[in-house]
Amino acid sequence: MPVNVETVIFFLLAAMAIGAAVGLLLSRNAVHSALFLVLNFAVVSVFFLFLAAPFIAMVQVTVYAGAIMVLFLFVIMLLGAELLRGGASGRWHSALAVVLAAGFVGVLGYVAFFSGIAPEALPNVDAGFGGPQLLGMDLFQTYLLPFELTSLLLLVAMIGAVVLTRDARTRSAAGPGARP
Amino acid sequence: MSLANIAAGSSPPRDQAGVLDELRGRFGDDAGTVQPTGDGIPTLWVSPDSLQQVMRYLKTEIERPYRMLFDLTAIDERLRANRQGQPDSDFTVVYHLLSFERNADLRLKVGLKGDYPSLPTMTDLWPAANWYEREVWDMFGLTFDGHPRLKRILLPPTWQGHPLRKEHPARATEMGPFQLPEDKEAREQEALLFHPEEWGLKRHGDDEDFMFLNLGPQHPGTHGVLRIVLQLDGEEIVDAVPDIGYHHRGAEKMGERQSWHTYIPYTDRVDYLGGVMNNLAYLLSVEKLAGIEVPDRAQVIRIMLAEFFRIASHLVWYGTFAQDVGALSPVFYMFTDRERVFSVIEAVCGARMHPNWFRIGGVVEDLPNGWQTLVADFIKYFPPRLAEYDKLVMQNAILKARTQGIGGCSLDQAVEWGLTGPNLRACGFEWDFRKKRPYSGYDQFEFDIPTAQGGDCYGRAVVRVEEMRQSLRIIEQCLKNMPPGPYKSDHPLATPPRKERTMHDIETLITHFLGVAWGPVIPPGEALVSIEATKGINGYYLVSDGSTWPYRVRIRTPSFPHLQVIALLSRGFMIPDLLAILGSLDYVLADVDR
Amino acid sequence: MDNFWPIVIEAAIKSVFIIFVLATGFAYMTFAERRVAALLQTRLGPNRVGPFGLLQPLADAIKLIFKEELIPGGADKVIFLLAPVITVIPALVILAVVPWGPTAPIHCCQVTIPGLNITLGGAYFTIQSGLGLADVNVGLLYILSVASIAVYGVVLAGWSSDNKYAMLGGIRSSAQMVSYELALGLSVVGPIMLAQSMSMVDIVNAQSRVWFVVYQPVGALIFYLATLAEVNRAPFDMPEAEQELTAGYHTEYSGMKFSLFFMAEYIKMIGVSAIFATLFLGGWRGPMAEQVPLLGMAYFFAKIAASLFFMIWLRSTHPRLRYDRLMALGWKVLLPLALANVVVTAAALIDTTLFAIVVGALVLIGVVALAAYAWRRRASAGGRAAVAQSPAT
Repeated sequence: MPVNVETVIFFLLAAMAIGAAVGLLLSRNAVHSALFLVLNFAVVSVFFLFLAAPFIAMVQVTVYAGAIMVLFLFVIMLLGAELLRGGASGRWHSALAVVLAAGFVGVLGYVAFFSGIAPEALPNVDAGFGGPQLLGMDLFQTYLLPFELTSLLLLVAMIGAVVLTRDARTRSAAGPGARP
Repeated sequence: MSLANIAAGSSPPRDQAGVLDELRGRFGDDAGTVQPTGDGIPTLWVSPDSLQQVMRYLKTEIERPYRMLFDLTAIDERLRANRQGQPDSDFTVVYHLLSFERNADLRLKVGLKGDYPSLPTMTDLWPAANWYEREVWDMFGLTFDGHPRLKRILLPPTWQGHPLRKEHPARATEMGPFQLPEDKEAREQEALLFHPEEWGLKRHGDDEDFMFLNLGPQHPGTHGVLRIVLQLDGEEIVDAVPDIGYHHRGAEKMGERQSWHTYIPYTDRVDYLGGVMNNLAYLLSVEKLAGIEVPDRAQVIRIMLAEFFRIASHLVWYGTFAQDVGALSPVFYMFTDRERVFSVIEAVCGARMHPNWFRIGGVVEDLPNGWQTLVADFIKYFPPRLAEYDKLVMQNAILKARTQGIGGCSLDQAVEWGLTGPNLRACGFEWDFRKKRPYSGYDQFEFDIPTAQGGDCYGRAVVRVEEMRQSLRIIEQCLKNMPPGPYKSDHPLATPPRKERTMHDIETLITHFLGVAWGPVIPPGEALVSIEATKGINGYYLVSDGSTWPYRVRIRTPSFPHLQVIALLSRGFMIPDLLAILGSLDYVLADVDR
Repeated sequence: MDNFWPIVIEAAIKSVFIIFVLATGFAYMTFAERRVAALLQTRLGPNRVGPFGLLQPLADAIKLIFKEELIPGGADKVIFLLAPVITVIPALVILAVVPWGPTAPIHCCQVTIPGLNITLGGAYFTIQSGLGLADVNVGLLYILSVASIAVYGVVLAGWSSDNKYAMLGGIRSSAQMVSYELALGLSVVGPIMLAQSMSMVDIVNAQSRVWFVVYQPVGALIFYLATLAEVNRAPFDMPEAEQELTAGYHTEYSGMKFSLFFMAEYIKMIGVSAIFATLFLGGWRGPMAEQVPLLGMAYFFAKIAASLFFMIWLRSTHPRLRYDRLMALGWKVLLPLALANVVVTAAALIDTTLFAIVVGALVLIGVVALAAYAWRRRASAGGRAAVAQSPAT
C-alpha cells in the first residue's frame, strides 16, 4: 500500500472513529455518549467523502447527526437521565460483551483478510455514483414501490405518534378564565 | 342585581348609613357599637364571635351587598390617647368593605384584648383576605384562626418581632448594632433553602414530576424585586406563588414618627410612578381630619398634575408592557414622551419623579409664568403620538396573539380578589372614583371612563391607552379653565402658611413656626379617603390621637391585591404568558410592599 | 497528486479570507445592529469610540477579553467549554460552498515552500479561480447539514450550565431548530429544481436572466422565515427570550465564551443572508458583474446588507411570538406551504396542464382547510363569549 496523504488521513480518521466508538461505550454520562456518537457519525461521513460519495456523506450528517441525535439528546435531557446508575448489570454482562465483541472482530478479520471472499480491489464506479441524480433515478424508478411503501409506513408511524401523545387535557378554547 | 347593570350611566345614589339599620334589623343589639367618625364612613364595632356571621350577611345575604373586601388592617391601640366613645381594646382589626350598588363603604372593627390575641379568618369568604391577614400577622402578631398559610409576607422569615406594634423600634439606632454571628448566618442561609412544601406546592402530580422555577427576585421580566415561585409541568404553569416584601421600607411605620407635614415626601415613594397622586390621597385624608377646604385654584392645579402623572405612569406601563411581550422599540418612544411630561412637571414642581409638591391645604406655590405654553404644547404633541403607538403596538398582530384571551378573569373574580382601577374596568365594569365619588373637584370635568371586555391582558391594555386620551382631555380643560385665587387655604392648619402673610401678621408667623418646627396638630379622629390613582384605588386610612404626628398610617395600595391574583390569572398558561400578564397588571413593587 | 498542494494552498488562502471577512463582518454587524436599532428607536447608539463610534467593536472585544470567565459549580466543565466552540464552527464553515463572485483572474508570483521542495507556477502567472471556496455538486445539501449541526452548541450550552433558564432555552431551541429545518429544507427544493443542480455555482448561473425570487416568491418567504427561526432572530428568538428566560441558553456564560455565542449568532445571520441572496436574489449577479468580478462581489455584499438590514428592522418592530405558536407556525403553516410549493414547482416544470390541475387541487384543499379552521375558531370564540357573559351572582 503506497503511503500518501490520503492514507495518512484515512488512518487518522479511522483512529478517531474507533476512539469515538470506544468513548461512547465507556462514558458514564449519557450526554457524553451521545456526543461521541455524533463525532463518530461525522468521521464516517468523511469516509464517504473519501469514497467520492459526497451526497451520502451530507445525508449522513444531516439525518443522523443533525436530526436523530438531536432528538436523542432532547430525550436524555428532558428525562434527566444523563447519569447512569452503576451496578445494575451483573459483572458477567461485560465479560460476555467482551467475548462477543472479540468474536465479531475475529469473524470480520477472517472475512477481510483470509477468506478470499472480499475482492482485492473494488471495481471502479461511475463519476455520478452515489450522487443525487443516480440515487433519485434508483429510488423513483427502479425501487418506486418499496420507496413509496416505506414513506407510507413512516407517515402512519408519525400520525400514530401524534395521536398517542396528544394531551388529553387539551386546553379549553375559553382559557383559564373559565377555570373555577 | 348584576354589577354590569349599575355600571352604565351615572353613579348610583350614595347610601352610606342605611346599612346600620339593616344590620340592627338582622342582628339586633348583637350587631355591635356604632362609632361616630368624621369621614362619613359608618363604623361598627363587632365582637370576634359574631364577626363571620356579620361578614357573611354583608357579603351574600343583604340586599345591595358589600362585595369587595377593600382593605384589612389593624391598629395597636395600647398607647392611643383621645379615643373617647370607643370600646376598650389593645388591638383593633379594621375591615373596609365596598359596595358598588350602594356606592358606599363600611368599616367594621374588631376589638381584641391581650398581647398576641387571635380572631377568625375571612379567607373562606374573600380570597383576597389571604394576603391582608398575613400582613396583619406579620406586622402585629395577631393570629387568624383557620388561615391556610399564615406566614410572614413582607418581612423575611427570620425576622424577630412584629414592627407595627408600638414596642417595636422605629429607628435602626434603637435596635442596637447589627451583628451577624456564625449561627445567625447559618440560620439565615437555612431559611433561604427552597422546599416546595413550605410554599404549599406538591413535588409530584398524578403521573408527572413538577419543575420548580424561581422567577426573580432578580429577573428582567418582573419589573423590580419580585419573586414568583413557579410550579411547572413542561412550560405550563400549574401554580404560581408570588413572594413579595423585597421592596418593603416600612412606609407605614415611618408615618408614626414623622409630623403630618414631613410625611408628604414619603408618600411620593410609595407608587413611585404616580408622583403627586400619592400626595393627593394622603392629603385629602389629612384635610378631611383637619376640616380644611382647599381653594378652587389649588384643586385644579392638583388635578392637572395628577393627570400628568397618570399619563407618565401609563407611558411607562405602555413601553414595558410592549417590551414584556418582546417588542424592543416602543419602550424608547414612550420614555421619550414621558420626558416631555416630566419637562412640564419639572417646570411646575422643580422635581420629576418625586415632586413632593402638594401641601396640607393646597400646593407649594402658584404655577410658574408661562405654564400655559408648556401644557398647550404637550396637548398638541401627544395625540398623534398615541395614534402612532396604536399602530405600532396595539394593532400589531403578534402582540394581539400574545395578549388576547391571555390572563383573563371574570368580573366576579375581579371583585372577589379586590382588583381596582384599569384591571377592574377591563372586565367591562365602569367603576372610577373620579366619576362615582368625585373628589377634589373632578365633578367639574368632562371625561369618559373607558372599559373593555373579557378582562384579559389586551383588555387591560386597551383601557390604559384610552385613559391617557381622557387624561389629556382633563388637562386641556384645566388649561382652559384655570380659576384665579389663592393656591393654598387660609386655614390655620395649612402647612406652611402662605408666605405673604407670614411676615406681616404675628399670628401667622407663630403658626408657621409651630407648623414647621413641631408640625401641625391635627384633631383626633380617623379618616379614609380613596382616590383613583394610576394603578387603581389608593387610600390612606389615618388615625390621629390629637398629636403632631399620625398615630397610625395605613396605606391601601392597588398593587397589593393585583399581585395576589397572579396565580389565578396564570394557571394553565405558559411562562411567556406569565410575563405578558405581569406586564399588563401594571404594578409597582414599592406600591406592593410599601 | 500533482495538483494536491496547489489546491490545498488555494483553499487555505480563500478560507482565511472568508473567515477574516466573517469575523470583521460580525464585529461591524454588532455595531450596525446597534446603530440601526438606535436610528429606529430615536436614540444615537454607540458614537464615542473613534469616528462615528466605528471603533466600538474593538472596545467591546477588549472589554470581553478581560472579563472574568465564570464556570458554574454544577456545570459539566468539558461540555460547558466545548459548547461555544461547537456553536461557532458551523457558523464559520457554512459559507464554504457559496460563490462570492464570478470566475476571476488572480495574479500570483512564484511560491516555493521550503522543506517540501514544491514550487508553484512560473515567475509570474495568472490563474482562473472561482470567487468562492468550493464548488461541490451537493453544495446546498452541505449547507443543510451544517445548519443541522448548529443546534448542538445551543443545546449543550443549555444543558451543561446546570441552570433551569439555560435548560429551558436549550430545549426550546433544539425543538425550534429541528422543526424549522424541515420547512427550510423543502423551501430550497424550488431553486434546486429550477437550476437542476444542488451546486450553488450552478444555481447562481441559472439566475443569469431572472432571479429565482420571481419564480419562487413563496419559497423565498418560507426560506427567510425559517432561517430567522434557525438563527434565533426576533421575532423567533425564543431560546434567549430576555424577558422570559433572562438570557436563555447563554445565561451562565461570560467574557469570551459569551462573545463566541454572540459571534456565532451574527455570523449565522450573515451566512443565511448570503445563502438567501444566492438562492433567490441571483447571488453576485448584476449589471456588468461578469466583466468586472469585483463588482459581482459588491453586488453580493449589497444584497447581504439589505437582508441584514431587514432582519434588524424586523427585530426592532415586532414582539416575540409565543413558543407554542412558533411551533404551530412551523408545522402547520410553513411546512404544508413548502410542500405545496414543491409540488406546484414540479408540476410547472413538467407542463402547463399538470400545473393547472395541481394548482386547482391545492386551492381546493386550501379552501376546505380554511373553512374548517374558521368554523372551529368561531365555535371556540362562541364559547369564550359565553364565559365572559356569565352572570354575576
